[in-house]
Amino acid sequence: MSSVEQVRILSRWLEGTDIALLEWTRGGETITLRRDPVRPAVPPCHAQGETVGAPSAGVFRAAHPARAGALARPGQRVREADPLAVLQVGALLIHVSAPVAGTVQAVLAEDGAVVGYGTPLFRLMKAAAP
Amino acid sequence: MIEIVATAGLATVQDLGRSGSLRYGVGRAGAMDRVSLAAANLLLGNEEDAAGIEIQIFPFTLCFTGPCGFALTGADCGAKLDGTNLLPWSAYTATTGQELTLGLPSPGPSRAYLALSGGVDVPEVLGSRSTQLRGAFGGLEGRALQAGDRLSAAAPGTGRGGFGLVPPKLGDPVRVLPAAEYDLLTETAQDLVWSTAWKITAQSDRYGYRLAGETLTFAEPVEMLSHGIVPGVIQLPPSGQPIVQMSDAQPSGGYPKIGTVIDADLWRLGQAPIGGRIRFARTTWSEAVAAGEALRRWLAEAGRLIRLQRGRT
Amino acid sequence: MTGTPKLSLLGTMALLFEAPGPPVLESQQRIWALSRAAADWPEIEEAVPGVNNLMLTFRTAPRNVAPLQERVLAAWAEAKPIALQGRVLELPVVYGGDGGPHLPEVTAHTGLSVDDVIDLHTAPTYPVYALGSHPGYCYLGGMDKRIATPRRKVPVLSIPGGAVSIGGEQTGVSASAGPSGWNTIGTTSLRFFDPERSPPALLRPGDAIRFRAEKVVR
Repeated sequence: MSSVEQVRILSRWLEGTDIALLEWTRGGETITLRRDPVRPAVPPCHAQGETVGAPSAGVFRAAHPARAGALARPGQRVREADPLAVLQVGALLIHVSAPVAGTVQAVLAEDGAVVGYGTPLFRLMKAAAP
Repeated sequence: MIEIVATAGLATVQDLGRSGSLRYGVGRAGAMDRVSLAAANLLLGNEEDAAGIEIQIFPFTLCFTGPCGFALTGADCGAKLDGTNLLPWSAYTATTGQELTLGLPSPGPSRAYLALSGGVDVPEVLGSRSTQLRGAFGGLEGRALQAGDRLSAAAPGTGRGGFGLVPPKLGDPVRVLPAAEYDLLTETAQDLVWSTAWKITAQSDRYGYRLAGETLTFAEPVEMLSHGIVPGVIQLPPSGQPIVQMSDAQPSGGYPKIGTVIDADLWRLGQAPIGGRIRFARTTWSEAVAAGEALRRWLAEAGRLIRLQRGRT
Repeated sequence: MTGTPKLSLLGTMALLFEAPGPPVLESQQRIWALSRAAADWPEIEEAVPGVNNLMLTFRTAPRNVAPLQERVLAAWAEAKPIALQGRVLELPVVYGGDGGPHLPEVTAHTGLSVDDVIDLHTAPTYPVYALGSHPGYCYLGGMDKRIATPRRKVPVLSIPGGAVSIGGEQTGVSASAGPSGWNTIGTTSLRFFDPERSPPALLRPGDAIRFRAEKVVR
């Protein structure tokens, strides 16, 4: 096995751990792998993301039939009670509304998919308290 | 439970219209788009015929002086409740002090309908709560709404929010049954009735739509005696430009008539904007009757789904 | 009476029956009889007499309208003229002045003096043929042709209730403010319509009106 391949294997193994420094010595060779300090993706003072589940069974519609464009896109800021999507049951449209103010992190259902009660539809990152 | 904060004019209390008093000279009045008003009522669990508010000119702002359920249909005017964006054709509940603002309508229907839980509570006059502008009775004191006006809902606590309806499509053309004097038109004029894209001029309102297009002529001059008419009747005055009688039509007229817009399509005509164009399509009695039945089925199915939804919340 | 009546549709919500011949009183009296009969038919929402014609509105559009049309024609054939009620209402009128701004047009068109126009206008007893146009408004028969004056080229945006006018060969009194293309020759203070009363209109088809010159403003 070449040194490069060894490094590759060791790196992959390290990824799944929180070990910050590894020294591997074999024969006269030492391979040192050091992990860079972890930078959080999100400032640590924010609360955890909230999942918005379907309030009913129905067909998930990202946009309202009478309006163009999805009601809620990832990265979009929403207020409490803002419409995120609708669930269609025949002529009826049941609103999926933001339970809290925050930022839409992810849309978890596909447009046109049939969803059941409770199916996760959005992940919402709750806004920090003022 | 509401107070009008600002109105640009011509907003009136209307139900589906006043019947049974034509013989006293009292026309039907009522919503220009009766389908939207009926749907707004159904969204709140009201009778289809409950009184609502027809808004024709925007913006329009009101304040809830008490908690109340409400629904908005017809024009999509980017409505907001205290800054929260509302979806069109939907039911909501408001709390005391919240303000509802309607902005300019997006392309599409041009009149909005606001229903309140239980219906707008004004006295019935001659069997209806519609505003009769000429004669000044019905609705709120027989006149358009003004800033400062207060209106009550008959059953404010029965509101349930969080759902709406898929709005029905407007579509084009508008179906017409020929009327008595159609046969007196020249052949060229008859063809023009159906082929012209008629423009709705700025002189159009709840009384009637004055159309502009090719000049229509009769083969011989026609003199009529005053006779009963209904909304939808298309008259041809000496100018040769048609007038379609709308909700505030007089119950009688003396001009020749070339056709009548079928009852099932009047709601679509009632949503056509000033400056827009409409076409007429000749239809038959049985097609017109079938169109009316299809509309009633749609409303019945919408009502059924809404009742189920209201029962769950 | 010669000539055949005419039946036509007003969409799917009403039927229009037009009697043949000129709008003479006897023909109108048969229209009243037909109206009375048809008003009781189950599919008819309202029977609305016009001048020598009758509109019948439906509650819901019948699947097949031909049987109803035949019934109307049969009922017309049987209709006997209804006698006048005998109720005559006298209206005091102030002719000319601010309440009668178009009296000069009538005298100019007819070539008659103000007094002659008023004499001819106040002489007849005018039967109420029908109500229509606006709440409480009466279509009257029997005006003297000598004071006939064509409708105005440009209608007036608003004439007040109580305006007494001449339009072509007809005369009438408006019951509330609104636009009019007729020539207004005087004014009366009588109220013709009260929505709180039953019936709301003061006059009925078969009643009659007389005009009395209370004052002439020259």
